[in-house]
Amino acid sequence: MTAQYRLRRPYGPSRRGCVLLLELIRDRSSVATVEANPKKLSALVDSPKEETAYLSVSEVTRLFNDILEQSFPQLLFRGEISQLTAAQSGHLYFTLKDEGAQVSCVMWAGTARTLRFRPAAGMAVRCHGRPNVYPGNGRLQVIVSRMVEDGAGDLQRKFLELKARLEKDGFFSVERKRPLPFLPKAVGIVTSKTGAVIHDMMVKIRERFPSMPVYLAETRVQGEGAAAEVAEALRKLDASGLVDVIIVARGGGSLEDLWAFNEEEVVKAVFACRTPVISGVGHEVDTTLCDYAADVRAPTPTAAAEMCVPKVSDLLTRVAELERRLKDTDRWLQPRAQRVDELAGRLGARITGALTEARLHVKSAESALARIRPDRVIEMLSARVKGLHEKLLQSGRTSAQLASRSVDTLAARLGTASSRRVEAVAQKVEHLGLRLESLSPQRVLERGYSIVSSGGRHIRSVVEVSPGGPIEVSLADGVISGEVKKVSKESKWQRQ
Amino acid sequence: MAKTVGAAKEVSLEAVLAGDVTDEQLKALTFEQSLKLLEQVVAAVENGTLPLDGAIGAYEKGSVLVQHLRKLLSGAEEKLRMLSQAE
Repeated sequence: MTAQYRLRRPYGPSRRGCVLLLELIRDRSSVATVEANPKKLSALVDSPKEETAYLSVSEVTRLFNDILEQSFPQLLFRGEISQLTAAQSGHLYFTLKDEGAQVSCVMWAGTARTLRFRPAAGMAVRCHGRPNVYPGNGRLQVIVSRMVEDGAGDLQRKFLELKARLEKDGFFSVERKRPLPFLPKAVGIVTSKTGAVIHDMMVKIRERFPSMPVYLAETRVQGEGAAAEVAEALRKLDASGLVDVIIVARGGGSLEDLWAFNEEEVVKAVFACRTPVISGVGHEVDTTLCDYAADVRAPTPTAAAEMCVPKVSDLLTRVAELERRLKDTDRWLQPRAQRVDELAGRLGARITGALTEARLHVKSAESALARIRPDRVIEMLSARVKGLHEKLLQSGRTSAQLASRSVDTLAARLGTASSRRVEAVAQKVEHLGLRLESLSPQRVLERGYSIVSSGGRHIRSVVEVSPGGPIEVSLADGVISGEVKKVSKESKWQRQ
Repeated sequence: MAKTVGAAKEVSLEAVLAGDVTDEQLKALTFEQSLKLLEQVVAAVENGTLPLDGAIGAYEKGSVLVQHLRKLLSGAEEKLRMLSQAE
């Protein structure tokens, strides 16, 4: 039976009740139209004999949506954002709540893009929207078309205030963070005994290191008194000395679900632990003050378990590898043995070489010795003496001949040389005689010059005579004697 | 079986090579200390610069460390223990 209904718009909204128009399509040809108000509709549903009265689930949903849309075309409401999820598509899914109730909301990507602020859990907002039943799960939700901030949410504000204060007091100081032990002797866990969290963590630890002892300090992780229990569990585990790493864990939840892990009491207990603490509270996106105070923050409880315990298989592989290397004597002992062999070889080679060499020496000396024969030595020596003797004689003869020959030559050379020199001297003497002759006073007088003297002295200047004094003039052929009549200082030859 | 927490006294490679370390001292080491020491011992032995008797001694101590490490890693599956509220 494939009856289909198509809903038509009601004739008009009415606060008291809606008048509906139903069109029943049995097949393409026959159409029945039912006009009904809600009361009539229920009467229709109550009469099972009227088969057409049964609506399909989709019809019901569409019916609800039509009624909602007509009744609340625009809904104005306010509340605090919680469980906010930004889908890949850009749509925002969240819950708007107050102390007593919550409403699922959705904001389409197109609207979300126009928001002037970044919605966050705990934020108080005012919204415009229209209610709608989502056919996929039949839940009522409000499609939000407008959203503005209504001042920060109470919890969020409290969180930020507490965070700022504890930060100032140094509870989150990075310098204080301690490293986790490489391989703990035992792991302590602070979380709820029931639920998936402890189970998942144990599975992870068993998988990585089956013999790892785990101590659970059971606590409530939500609600009144949870924070005090968590703090007390931390103190006990730390004081027990049983473990050398502690995990504080809780599954994901809203800000108020995780609130115990934001309490000052928990933060201070984490801070006071002498044992390194890993915080694995909530999901990746959730951040608590316990995360800030812990030595290491893990994104999830399972990740925390993974962080604090190494994989036994990895460690065994590493030990086996080291053992193999240690026991691999070929690797470290063999090279030494080889070195010994090598040195022995070299030593042997050195000795053999030296012996061979020595043996060769002896052998060649022997053969040299064998070649020596006394008779031949004497023969050889006498032949040599004879040769020398002859050489000596020969050289004596040659020397005498050479000597006489050179005396002759020398005599001849001497004769020639002396006669040449005598000639040169004679020529020189003659030349000098001629030069000497040209300088004699007689020759000067012959050229017309006179020598004047007075009282036997040569006169060179007029001042040497005075009038009335004697004067002799010697010429080439005689002497003229007289008396000085006048002395004049004007010379005929003096240049003007 | 009470497990004590806290690092054991470190043993240096020099002490091992000098033959100043007993097997008991080695067995008191934590896993991390033992692994680190074993790595150093293997490297020293492989290096080939140790005197032979030193290398043999180091080899023996290395073997003790391997046993110790294996023992630390072996063991039956542990059960989850509850830290009793009275404790």
